[in-house]
Amino acid sequence: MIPGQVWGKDSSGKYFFNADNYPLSYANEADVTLLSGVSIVFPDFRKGNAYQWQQWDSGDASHNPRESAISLITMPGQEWGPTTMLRPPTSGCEIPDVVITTVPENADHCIYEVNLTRTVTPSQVNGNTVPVIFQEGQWVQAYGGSLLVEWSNPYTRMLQFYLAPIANGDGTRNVLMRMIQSVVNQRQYNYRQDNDYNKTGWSWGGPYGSAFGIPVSFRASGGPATDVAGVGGRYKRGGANAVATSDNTNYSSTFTGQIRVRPGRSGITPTSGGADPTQPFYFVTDIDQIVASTTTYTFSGKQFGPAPTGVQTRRMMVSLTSGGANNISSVTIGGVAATLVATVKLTTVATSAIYIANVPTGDTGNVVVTFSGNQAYCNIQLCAGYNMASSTPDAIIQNTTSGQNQSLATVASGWTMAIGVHQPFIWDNIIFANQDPQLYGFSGMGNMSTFPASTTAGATIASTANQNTDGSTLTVQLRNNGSGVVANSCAWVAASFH
Amino acid sequence: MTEFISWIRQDKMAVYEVPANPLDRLTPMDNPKAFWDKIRFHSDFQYLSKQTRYNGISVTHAAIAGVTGTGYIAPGTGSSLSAPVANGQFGVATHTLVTHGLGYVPLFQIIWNGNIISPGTVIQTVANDKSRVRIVSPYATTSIIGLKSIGISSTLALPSTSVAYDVIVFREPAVDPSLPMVRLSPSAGKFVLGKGRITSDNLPLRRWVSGDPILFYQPVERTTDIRNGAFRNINQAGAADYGTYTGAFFTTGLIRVTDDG
Repeated sequence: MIPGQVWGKDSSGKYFFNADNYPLSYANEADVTLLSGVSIVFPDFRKGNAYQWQQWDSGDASHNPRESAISLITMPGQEWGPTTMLRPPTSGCEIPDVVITTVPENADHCIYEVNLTRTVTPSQVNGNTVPVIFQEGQWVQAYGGSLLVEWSNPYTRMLQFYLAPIANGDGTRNVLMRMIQSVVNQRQYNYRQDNDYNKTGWSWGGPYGSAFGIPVSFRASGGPATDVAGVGGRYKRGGANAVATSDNTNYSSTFTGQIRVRPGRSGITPTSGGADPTQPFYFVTDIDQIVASTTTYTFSGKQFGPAPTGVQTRRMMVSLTSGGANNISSVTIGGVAATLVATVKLTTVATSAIYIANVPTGDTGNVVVTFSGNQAYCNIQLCAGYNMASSTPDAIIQNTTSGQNQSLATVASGWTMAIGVHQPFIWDNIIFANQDPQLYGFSGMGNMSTFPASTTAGATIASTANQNTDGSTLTVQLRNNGSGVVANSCAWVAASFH
Repeated sequence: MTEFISWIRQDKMAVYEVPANPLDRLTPMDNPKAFWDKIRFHSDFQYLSKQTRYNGISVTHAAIAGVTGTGYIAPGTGSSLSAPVANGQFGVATHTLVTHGLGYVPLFQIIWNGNIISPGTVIQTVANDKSRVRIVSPYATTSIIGLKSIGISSTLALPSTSVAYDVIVFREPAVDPSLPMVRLSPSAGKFVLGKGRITSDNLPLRRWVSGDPILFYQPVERTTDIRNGAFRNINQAGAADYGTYTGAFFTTGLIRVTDDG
């Protein structure tokens, strides 16, 4: 026996065993953990409501008002999970990790399998039952411990099994199960910006109602009816004939069945899969809005993404819209003065712009937009770019025409972003995500915000792609609900970077 | 230099690093789980090997018709709520990829475009329309390896698509009492270790080194994260987001695995 080497070769010289390149080993049959009678309960989401009150001339001799109303259950953006997540959950939405078993402390990975059935189905989302991602009642492997459970606009759920990073000190190591659920944070532009339910249109309410409340279920409707007394307002929220807004939904899901954990050991440091940390990698933060008559809009505590480390650089790009006639005086991101990338104004109605700044520190920070005079509102969207080649965009669009194609050149492995504000059109319903009208034409699958034509000026759309550009020239258009090419109808900007 | 011991007894066989004093040299032999980081082979452990690889299994995923919804409209101003409210629909189907007939549920992997398919892998997208996708989720029974697919349409149909999958079914060799603890027949190129835990006919999955063919990338850390109602998958080819993912998941841990066969 030669110290330091143990191997076996066949007559051809091929190894059939080598202590240096040893096999992956797993716990034998007796040591595989099988958990039966498991019950996994995802809690209900936080919800609010949306209420639309309509009023129009009945046409009778007295022009009495004719009214109707509809109410919906809505979900605002929210994040659920343990407080130990890198991006913490929404306050009050904590779901602690649970220890499900222990394995030998020197196991460095596990094979996780589940055989689960959904025994409590969540309420439908806008008339559709959200399907379970995996095959129920059969053994499914959670690669890397990750198991996507449910995914449908606007929410997603998953399980994550993982080994505790620190052993217990008694020769064992905990295996934990994490439950995460998430609702998209996306402003719904159909709501009145002042949320005044004493006026017609959509208003939000309820315990967790907000301008970000996404409709998920019909609640009640009333009318139409003519108020012959000529008073009006009976069908408005809180009126004499107001329709119900109480929450009659339950989006909790329960899964029951078995979990199987097979510890193993490879004894090697894993290779990193995914984004090369030296290459650009982008993500987008939430759209945010401040409605106020002011010159300075301060968006506090915005998520910037992980601060760059080592040789990494990070640039933050903010796209914004604002209602009013004034010019942008300055934009700061994380306290750093930002440089203008693109901007356009629609006469005295609104402004759209993109700014960029090199922000080397901080996972969060403030974005401050200052105008030369009072504006009515300001919307922003943030994007982080790591190790970008330059702050100079590859191409920009600055345009006030809707319904017309424009071109945007790109460089491979880059990114695009756009934002716009549109003149009012008549509308009377909520249009779901990714429906007409929309901003399209970006690399890969652009994540489109909803944009119904609105009676309220200043409704904003924003869009960024969720895949890198491929170097092609993109065709981009701010669509306007099929109204054809309409000049001086909007203010929208787009930019490509790499 | 690391010193190894190969120890063969009637009931066990092991190859391991010699433990440091004052531990007895047989300690890892008799307590392998406690010394797992020192073990290179032990007949008490399980060693997976590739039973069969099935290449190019073609599946035609059916089209999912588009649905135009009405949205939510207050009475008197539009169509009735009895019509579909939301645009699009789900189309759920299952497909049998392999009839393995093993009589038990094996470990397996389904590979598409060189990547392992995990529950929620997106195998079909439509350019410039993120609302239309098809996701798949693998599963196994005592007789088949299957794939559940969920197609999502919008007002427009999700087209049908044909996809070729590879399936690897793994063997989990149990101890065969009729076999010896060690048998070496170099001239015939045959060997047995641990009463069948590893044999020349069932080369085990092992850590890859330069020059080896890569059988697959085994994830040993999370491969998926969700945030902002979206999810991100990461494999050795990179990251892919579905929705506007705003989390902090950038890399995963992967083991390159080979079986040299």
